[in-house]
Amino acid sequence: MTTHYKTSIKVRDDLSEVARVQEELSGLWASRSLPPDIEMDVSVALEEVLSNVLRHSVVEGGSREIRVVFFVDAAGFEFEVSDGATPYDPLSRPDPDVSLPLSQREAGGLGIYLVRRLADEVSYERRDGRNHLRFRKLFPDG
Amino acid sequence: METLEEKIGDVKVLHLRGRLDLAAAPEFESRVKALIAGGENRIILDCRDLKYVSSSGIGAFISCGKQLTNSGALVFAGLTHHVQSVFEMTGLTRIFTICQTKEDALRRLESDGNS
Repeated sequence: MTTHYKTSIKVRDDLSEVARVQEELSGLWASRSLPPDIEMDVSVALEEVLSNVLRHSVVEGGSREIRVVFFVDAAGFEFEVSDGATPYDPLSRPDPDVSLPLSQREAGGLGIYLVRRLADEVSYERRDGRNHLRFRKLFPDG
Repeated sequence: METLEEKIGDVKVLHLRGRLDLAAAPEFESRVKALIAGGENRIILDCRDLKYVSSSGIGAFISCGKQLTNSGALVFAGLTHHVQSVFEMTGLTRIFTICQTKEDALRRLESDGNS
């Protein structure tokens, strides 16, 4: 797999950064004429992963040094969100039961589940003292 | 996200336009809950111009739906392809009534009200 394009974005420890990084994604999508059909799905996954790190990751002193990297190759798009917080694999959480009736449904806990469902591939890795969450979406045929 | 409101008979219709993301969801949820607290219990969310919904928006829909009493109804209309797929993934298609258009939703509420 040859990467055609790669860009790295530093993210401040502030929830408002999610919208800024999503705008970067939107700009990339337009400038490289990527398939519009999957842009919103990728954007949602990015919001979920990044907001999860910003809201829940824990660091003892200093910044979490969050970074987002976008990759484009011939077959698809990937993003990787990494942070220097304590080790945490969000994919280890059990899935919510989405078959329950409304009275038993919870409003929260759907973000990472949605990431899993939207992805063609998703993986977590602890590497070089950092958490790395990688999301891949294949381009539709044609 | 922009929300336009109209009242058709005893049905409140909210036309959602733009992105229902983590920034927009709290205000949207507060507004709908205020409407419910104010006595609105038949609500249509017209989503034909809603181009994006994340788990924050889905959570707001669930929370608002739970706020309605048994006699109330929260009906969705005009889901775009992306929003429809997020609804299916999160099980919302099982717990809410979803219609093709606002007009279909109004007819649905009218027939439910007469039954």
